[in-house]
Amino acid sequence: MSGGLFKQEEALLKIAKDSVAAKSFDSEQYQVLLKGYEKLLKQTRRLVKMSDRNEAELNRMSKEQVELNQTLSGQNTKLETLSVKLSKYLSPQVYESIFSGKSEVRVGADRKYLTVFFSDIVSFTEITDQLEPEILTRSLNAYLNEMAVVAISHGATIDKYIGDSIMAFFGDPETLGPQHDAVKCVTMALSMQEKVKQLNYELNKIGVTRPFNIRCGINSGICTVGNFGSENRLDYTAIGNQVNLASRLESSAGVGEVLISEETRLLTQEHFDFELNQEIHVKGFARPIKTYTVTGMNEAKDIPSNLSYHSKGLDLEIDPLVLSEDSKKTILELIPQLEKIIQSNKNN
Amino acid sequence: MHLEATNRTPEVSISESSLEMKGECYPEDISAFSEPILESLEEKLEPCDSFSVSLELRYFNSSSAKFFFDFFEVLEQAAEDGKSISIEWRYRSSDNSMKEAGEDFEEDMEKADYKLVEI
Repeated sequence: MSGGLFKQEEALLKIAKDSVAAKSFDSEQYQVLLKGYEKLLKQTRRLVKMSDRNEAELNRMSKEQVELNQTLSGQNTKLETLSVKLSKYLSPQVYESIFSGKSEVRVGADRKYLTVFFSDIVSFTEITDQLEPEILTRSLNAYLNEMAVVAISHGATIDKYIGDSIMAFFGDPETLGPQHDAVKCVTMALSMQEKVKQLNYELNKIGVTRPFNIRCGINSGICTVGNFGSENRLDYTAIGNQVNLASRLESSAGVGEVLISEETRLLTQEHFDFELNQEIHVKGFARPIKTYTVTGMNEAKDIPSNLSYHSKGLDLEIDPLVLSEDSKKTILELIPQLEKIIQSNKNN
Repeated sequence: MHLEATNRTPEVSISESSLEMKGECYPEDISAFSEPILESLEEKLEPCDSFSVSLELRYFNSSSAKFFFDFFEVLEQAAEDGKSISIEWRYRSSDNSMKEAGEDFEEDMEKADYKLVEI
């Protein structure tokens, strides 16, 4: 503390010191000192009282802060639990986009270039008419679960499930560019066809005797994508003629077929083989739409869409479509090291 | 004299016949804050017949408490010298701490007109 704040007290002390030095104490000086001492004592008492009051107030605020932190911590835990539950209702990309704050949760949409996918199970109603409700629920959930795993692993944004139908798209909220998005989408559709074949073995074990077959439709183009609805209830989805066309391709596809539009074929022709199929007429499109059936990977130029291996001591994820030149170089540099590791293990 | 409020000091305005202080008071250097105020107060009190003071504080620390003891002593002395001194200690209704501080300062005010005002 500065001497300035106590200059009156210091002046008084000097009088006392001077008197002691002079060895002279008259009654008047004594009265001044006494008055000063009384004032000092009074102020000290009040200061102590105020200080105690401040301390009590600080303690109270500190306690309040601790309680507030506990409440906040509890609310955070609740929010975390809630967000985990909520995440199951959203596509991972949409969930990430919202929870990272990249996307605003409000009514609004943008025009984006998307590759849109539709699928459904052929004759699902007939199949399920013969099933017990429990088996129907188990089989449909098993199917949708397996399809979701395939979709998510390829980076799709799952828009919605409508009974046994799935709508998904590539290009929002994340995009690798129109071409890569389209290739990912067609690869996903072929993977789904394969997955359904495997799933049918499992479903047969629980009493689904008629195997599931799916048909898929894919189209690429400019769509309107965003949040539609009211401020109270939003639906993140894609709409527009190009979406309708994808849906029509799906309904026109044959059993176990992936039917795509000319636009999607042009984007993916380096990676897949196709067969020209019948033209279809779609409302909103002046001319007939050329359609193509995807017959498989283009073996000559085939690049595996994903390398994914996970086992004890091995975690490998390679996505050739987005592999940078640096990453390719790193892989080549790693190969000799991997050989050494394998050789060393053999010797041991 | 006018001092803008800072994070640690209140807004202070001193005119020929009044002084207002509002905010929190825990300056890093209490003397640098308090001495100009006390000097200005004594200067304004000297020629005037009446002077009014309004204080509305939300928090002050121990050093500031010592300053306020001196501040009120100057005002009480002026009242003893025959000047009309009116003081309002304004505090928020929920702020018991500032209410009690105002009551403590009130004990020294015999000649000055000192009022506690709940806001």
